[in-house]
Amino acid sequence: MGYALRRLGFYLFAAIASITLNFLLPRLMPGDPASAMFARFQGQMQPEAMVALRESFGLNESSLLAQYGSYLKHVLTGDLGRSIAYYPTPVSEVIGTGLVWTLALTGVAVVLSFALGSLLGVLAAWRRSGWIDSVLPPLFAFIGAFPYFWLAMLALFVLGFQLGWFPLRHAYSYDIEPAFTAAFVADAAYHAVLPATTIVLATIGGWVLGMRNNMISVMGSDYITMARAKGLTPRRVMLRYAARNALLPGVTSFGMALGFVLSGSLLSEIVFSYPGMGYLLVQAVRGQDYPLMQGLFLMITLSVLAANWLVDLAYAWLDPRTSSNE
Amino acid sequence: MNSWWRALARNKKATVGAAILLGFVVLAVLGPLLVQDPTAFVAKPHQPPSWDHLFGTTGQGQDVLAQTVCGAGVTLAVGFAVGILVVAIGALVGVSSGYFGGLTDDATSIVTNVFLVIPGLPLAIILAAYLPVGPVSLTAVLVVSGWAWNARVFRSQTLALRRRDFVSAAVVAGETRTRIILRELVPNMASLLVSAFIGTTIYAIGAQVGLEFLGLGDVGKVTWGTNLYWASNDATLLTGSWWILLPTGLCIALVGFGLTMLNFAIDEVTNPRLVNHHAGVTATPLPEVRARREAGAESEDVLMAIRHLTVTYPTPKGTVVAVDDVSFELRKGEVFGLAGESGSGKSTIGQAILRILQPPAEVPSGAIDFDGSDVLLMNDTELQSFRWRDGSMVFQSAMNALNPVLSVGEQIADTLEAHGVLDPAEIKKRTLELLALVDIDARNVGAYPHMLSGGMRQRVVMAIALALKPRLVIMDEPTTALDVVVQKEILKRVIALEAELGFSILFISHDLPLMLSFADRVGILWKGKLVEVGQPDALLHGSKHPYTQRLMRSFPSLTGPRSERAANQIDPDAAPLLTIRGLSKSYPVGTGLRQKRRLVLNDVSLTLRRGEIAALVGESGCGKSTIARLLMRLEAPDAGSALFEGKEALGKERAPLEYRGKVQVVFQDPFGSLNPVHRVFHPIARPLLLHGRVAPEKVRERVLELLTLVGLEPAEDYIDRYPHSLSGGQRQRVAIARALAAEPRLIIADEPTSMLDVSIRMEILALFRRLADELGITILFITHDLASARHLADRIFVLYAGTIVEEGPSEELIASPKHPYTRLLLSSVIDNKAALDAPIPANPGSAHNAPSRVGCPFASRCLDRSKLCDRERPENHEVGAEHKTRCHLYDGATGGQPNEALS
Repeated sequence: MGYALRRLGFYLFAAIASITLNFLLPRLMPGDPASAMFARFQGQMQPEAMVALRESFGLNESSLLAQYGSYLKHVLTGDLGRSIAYYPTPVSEVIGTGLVWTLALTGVAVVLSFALGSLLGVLAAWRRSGWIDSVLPPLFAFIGAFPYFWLAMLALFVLGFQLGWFPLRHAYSYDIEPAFTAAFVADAAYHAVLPATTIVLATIGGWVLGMRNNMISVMGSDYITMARAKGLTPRRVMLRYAARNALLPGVTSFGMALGFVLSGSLLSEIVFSYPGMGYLLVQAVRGQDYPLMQGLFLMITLSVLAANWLVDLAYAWLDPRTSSNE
Repeated sequence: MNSWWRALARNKKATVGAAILLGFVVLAVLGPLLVQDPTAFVAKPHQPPSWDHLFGTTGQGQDVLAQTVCGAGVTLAVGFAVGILVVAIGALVGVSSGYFGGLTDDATSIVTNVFLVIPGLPLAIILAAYLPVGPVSLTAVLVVSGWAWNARVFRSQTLALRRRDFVSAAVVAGETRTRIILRELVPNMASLLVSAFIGTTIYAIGAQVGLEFLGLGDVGKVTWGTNLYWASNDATLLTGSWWILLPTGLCIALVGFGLTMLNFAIDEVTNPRLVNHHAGVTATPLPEVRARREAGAESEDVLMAIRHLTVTYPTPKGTVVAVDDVSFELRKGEVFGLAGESGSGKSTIGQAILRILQPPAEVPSGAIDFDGSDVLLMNDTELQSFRWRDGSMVFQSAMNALNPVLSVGEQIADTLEAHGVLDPAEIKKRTLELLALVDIDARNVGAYPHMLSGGMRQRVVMAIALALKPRLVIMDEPTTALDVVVQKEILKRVIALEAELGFSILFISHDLPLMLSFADRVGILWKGKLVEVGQPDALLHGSKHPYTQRLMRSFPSLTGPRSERAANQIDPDAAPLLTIRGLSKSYPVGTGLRQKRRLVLNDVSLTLRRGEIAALVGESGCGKSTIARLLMRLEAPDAGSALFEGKEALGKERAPLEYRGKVQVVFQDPFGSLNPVHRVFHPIARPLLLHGRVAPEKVRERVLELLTLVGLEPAEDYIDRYPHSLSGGQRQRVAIARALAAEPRLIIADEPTSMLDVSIRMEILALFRRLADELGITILFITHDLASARHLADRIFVLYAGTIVEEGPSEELIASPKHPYTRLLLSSVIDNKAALDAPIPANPGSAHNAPSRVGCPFASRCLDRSKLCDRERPENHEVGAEHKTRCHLYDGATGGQPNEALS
């Protein structure tokens, strides 16, 4: 378990680094960020909101170090300041439900896309020049080149507006009370079909191609030849020998891509008015709600770090060499 | 490198990608001149496409076509700018951090890794929200959030290249760091630079459009991103104005698609395996033409008869015949040796028997008769049952033949399962039996391949090969990758198993003396043809084919005559060229708190006389290459000194140019020691210029002279060629010419022949001898092979686990070895039957045990071990004229005989 702890140590360090970055960013910007910000809001903001803004940036303290200290204390106790757009709701409360929706939607879509894409990649490499191998990579390369949110808009337009097959907005119908009931889960899943499909479509090409190329490298190795020579069935050689090894670099890039995919899916959420972090983010940007923006950045980053740690654990489980090599 | 660009230019995907991109660049530059003002309100909002407005109008009544065309400029400019900046920053950070290493590298890679896990777009959003809007800050934001990936990729590429021998050779030649980075490393990164640029540009365009869509760009400017921002704001979907959305989205996708195609093309050119030349890797093509079954009854005891087997490989330059009309028989219980050099077709025959040839190999004619049925005619079911049940195979490299993610037990079990053994208890029992058969402890059944030593892995592969008690076992160079002592253990086990189980062996190897010592019959393959078949005695004493005779002479012997040095140029009383005293070196193992140091060299002392050839002999991991690296000043020792011509020679990497001029090196791998991007001229000319050996205008002339000296004639034919067009032997000669260019006093030759074909080895050894004889150069010859050492060297130093255990004149040391380890090494050289039959004079163990500072390093394996051996490090005892050994057997002994009282 030394490996798992070492990775955990790294992600804790990365978490502290991003918290620090979050603290420093407004202070590193050219000029005095606070006054520039206040200038924009002059006349439109309630005095209480101004006070809240000052507080949330810790600008009441004197030295930078003291500001950092009180900032850390706030963050560690879950206090991310108060939102301006939703004043006086605390940022952590605003983010709360959004985080759940985003993690559920993106989590399912990303895992689905990875699993499906890797499987297609395995098949493409196994049957070189078959239809999967000839058609899918260029097709997905083309689809993957569209911005996520553009695909989302197209899907919404055609399948939602024109055909009316899917709901147009939100994560669940307004007439259903959020609860852990079969009806609600089914309704939520129905609402998630379009957003999830666009995320899968936009990302699957990378997994197909990556897995295909890894498979082709692995299939040149001696242990594949030996597995065939041993008289194993082709299916077993493909899955237990080739795919199992080709999956390892794929898992590494899966971890790497998480942040990227999450970013893209935030934009899709906006199109579907999905009540996740992406939707909040656009509210924050349009309403110039800096505390909310920064809170969102922090929560998104911490989620990605946590997910990366889980991916590392999965990798260690898949590759017996991980724990003893280092 | 030029060929890389040419291959890229010929690639279809590259052409498509480049054409799309070029089209958009032209559109971005010229387009705005042809369309109306994209910001002007020219018509009613939300108008569908019409003749006046081909793409319709926006929600504010602007022309969609004009907006689409004019949006290309800023979007592409920002994309390419970010691409260039990020690659430049990433390459700079990555290459310098990877090359210089140390604390800077540690700090840089932590920062890089942290930036890598922080999601880019949210960071970019925060940054963009604080910065003033506009393309410049957008570029800055994307650079900050995107540099880390490139830094990481360039760092790992640098680390990989840095370990290559051609970089070490450039260091030893005396090149500066800047020059090594710019002239040796960066030219090898062309494909990475281009693909990183393309990948980053794709990212930059996507992220840019995303940020602008969020409203974080300058919404007053016309870009593809702001087009989509307005489209979304102006309720495009609610009004059904699909035409506002479509053109911009398609343009973005086309640019992305073009870039992706270019990257596909680069992948394919860099890794040719990805290109699909031939269909179906799983199906082995069946022969089209079949030789008619030979008439006549086969004799009872023939297990397999190969008749007129031909294997061909179609290549762009025509068909290569790898195996040319080969026929031979294998009898029941027989060991048949197939000897030949690389490219002789010996492995191809082995693969053809199990029908595991990789496409595009074809079998146009021939038959493989295995006990009455033709393997080449079997259908899939027959074949699956034939494989392993009748014939199995031991592959050359056991590390690569075992699946790294399955345990030893699982890999034996699935072999049994595939052939119908399904009862778990039965599988378990058989697995343990098989492991016992090859002397592997049952505890290792759950071990993964990487946890086992090389010899153990090879035994696991043998256990798997024997799992179904096959009648034929094909062994393809089963011991070549192993140390000699382990090789002998494995071979003895093979012979014992063959006697016990009665299978036939097709033994494939380049090592003719080895096979002559235990095979029943040996066939000699030359360029795909079987030129001679005979019993060992017959081949040894009366081989008929000239190639067989040449092959036999290619192996230096431990006995018999050896070529003498031309003149006795060595003066034992003169001041030595190099005096090494008390050299120690250790490396860190593990990370963090559990980090330990592994001792690699323990108090090594030796002297080299001017003009002599000294051999440093030892198994892999004994520290012999570490001595070479210290003398090359690629690393610094922990302790000890080396006086070269009276001056201290060791220290950090930056050696005085004078020292670099005097000590040169020839590496083991001729494919890694020459930089693929430079012509032959470059590596030889650089030392000439660096050390001012000739005037600049005479350099070419001198390079030609040096090429002639090393036997590359006519030199004009070689000087402008790239390394990839040379054979291994020719490359090694270029590497020797490079070492000679600086006019050194000492050449360190680190296993210079072990990766060459056997017939070339003797020529290269002869060349070294000529250099010592004619130019008076001192040579430190590092090798694992005692016979080569005896053949070439005046004196031999035997190294075991970081300690020199014996040293002496070559002839005497071989004829009368004193140290038990030297005796073990000598007894492991198998060149006759008696040598193979003789017992192994040591306890099982490995030379890879970490040397300890106390006691004798060999104690745990020594048959003469006493209590003293564990406690006290032996002194260096004089056991003959200039013959010394570090062994307690000789404590207080005289005349080179062991002290009986101690043993």
